[in-house]
Amino acid sequence: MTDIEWSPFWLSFKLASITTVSLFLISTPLIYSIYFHSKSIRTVLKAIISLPLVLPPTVLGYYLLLLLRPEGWVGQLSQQWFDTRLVFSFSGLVIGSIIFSLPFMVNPILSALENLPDNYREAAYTLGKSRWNTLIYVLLPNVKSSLWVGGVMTFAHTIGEFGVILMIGGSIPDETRVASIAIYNEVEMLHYANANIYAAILLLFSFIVLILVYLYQNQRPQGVI
Amino acid sequence: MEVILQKRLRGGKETMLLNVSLKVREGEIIAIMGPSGAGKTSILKMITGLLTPDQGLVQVNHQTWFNSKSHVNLKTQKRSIGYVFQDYALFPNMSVRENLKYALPSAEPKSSIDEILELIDIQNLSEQKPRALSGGQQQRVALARALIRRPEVLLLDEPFAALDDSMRRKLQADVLASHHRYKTTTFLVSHDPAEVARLASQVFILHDGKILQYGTPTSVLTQPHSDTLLTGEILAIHQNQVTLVVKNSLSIIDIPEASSQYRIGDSILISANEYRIRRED
Repeated sequence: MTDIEWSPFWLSFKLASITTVSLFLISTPLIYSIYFHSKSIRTVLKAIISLPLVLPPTVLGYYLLLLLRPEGWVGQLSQQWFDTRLVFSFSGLVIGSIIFSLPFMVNPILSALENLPDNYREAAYTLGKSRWNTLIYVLLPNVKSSLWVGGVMTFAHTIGEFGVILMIGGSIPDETRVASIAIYNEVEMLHYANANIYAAILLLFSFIVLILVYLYQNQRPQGVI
Repeated sequence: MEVILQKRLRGGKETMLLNVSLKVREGEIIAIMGPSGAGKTSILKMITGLLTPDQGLVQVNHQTWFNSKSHVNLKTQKRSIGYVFQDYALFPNMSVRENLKYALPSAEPKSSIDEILELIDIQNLSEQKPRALSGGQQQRVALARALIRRPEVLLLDEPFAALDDSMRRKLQADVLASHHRYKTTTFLVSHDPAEVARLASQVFILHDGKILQYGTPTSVLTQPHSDTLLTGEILAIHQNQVTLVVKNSLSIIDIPEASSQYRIGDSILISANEYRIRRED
């Protein structure tokens, strides 16, 4: 066994934490705009958000690369406003992860909201409460378990991301070489001992996450996945 | 208060034209009776603004809440209403006190919460979550929550349907006590003639979206519409045979395609008119 680099795990952890917190903040207004739309518009918006679930990560990664590269629309803006390059950088990974993990956060919360009785929403309206107020004080607190599940799944999914990261981030040590990429590198260099350790840690992590989610669900039968 | 409502309602494949016009004195309790699917809840929802009429007018204390001609349609949030849902719709994440606090307009003093808890006699439940309460207790909280905003119009959608007799009596007393105190114009959807006689000063009998009869409970309930043969609750459906509970006795009647149209627990009204049409089928 050769020396083990732990920085890929730290990077993965940092990326997953930032993605999860950002998605919590982004999801609330997004859920508001989807949930209170008419059913037909809601269907289209849900399909767009769920695209990362069915698209091959390389396809999503490819389009993100076109957008984020210095000649791309977002890449140019970032260069002009923040003097930051997005491709092959940690910031680029965060943007990619947020888009890639969006359905893992939004879908469980949205389906839990849709399963709540309409009466809660209607009762809040008859009490003079706005849609925002109803969402924040009545609807979301009653789907707490889905918020928890959405957060955990987003975190775990980001830890396991590979295709998108390889396309837009490459494998730059301490910048974009996250745990899943590190395994790929070790195998390419035929360092199977290291790859084994990395893979075993990720396997154990994923297993613990699922156990936690299902334990939580057992306590609350209205679980959402 | 004037309510004129027209709306084509869709229930499954069939549509029904709801067409009613009610003129009621402010401060009265008005009962709406009629079989399931007659449009009773739709009337309440159109008064609240949760459902928009195709045409009509809702005018309360000289304020227009809805007028299709002048394109006025006040948001539900802007209408001074209290709505008590059949299944209570208390917010499970909040305690009884928090449910009331959430409903209380910010300008109102917090002491209103204790006042209403005392009026409905539920002070001892104030820290409980709705899940821990019985049906009757939840319904009392729902009534308190609807009243705490001192609404101009109170809408009660079969509020006592799921309760036993003694709890029903208690709640009826609560409604009377609060009405005595606040004099809120109240619409009560009910299936129970005794309840209507006890609470309401006017009653409208609704059938297929139209008003069949209206007047004081004594005049309407003692002189049923000539077309009405019987009203009852469905106990069982076997193919075309429907077993009805009618005033503590059972009646079995033939209704074509009954099993696809009705469910156990539905209340239905059988009129002579309807019976003839079904026989011609």
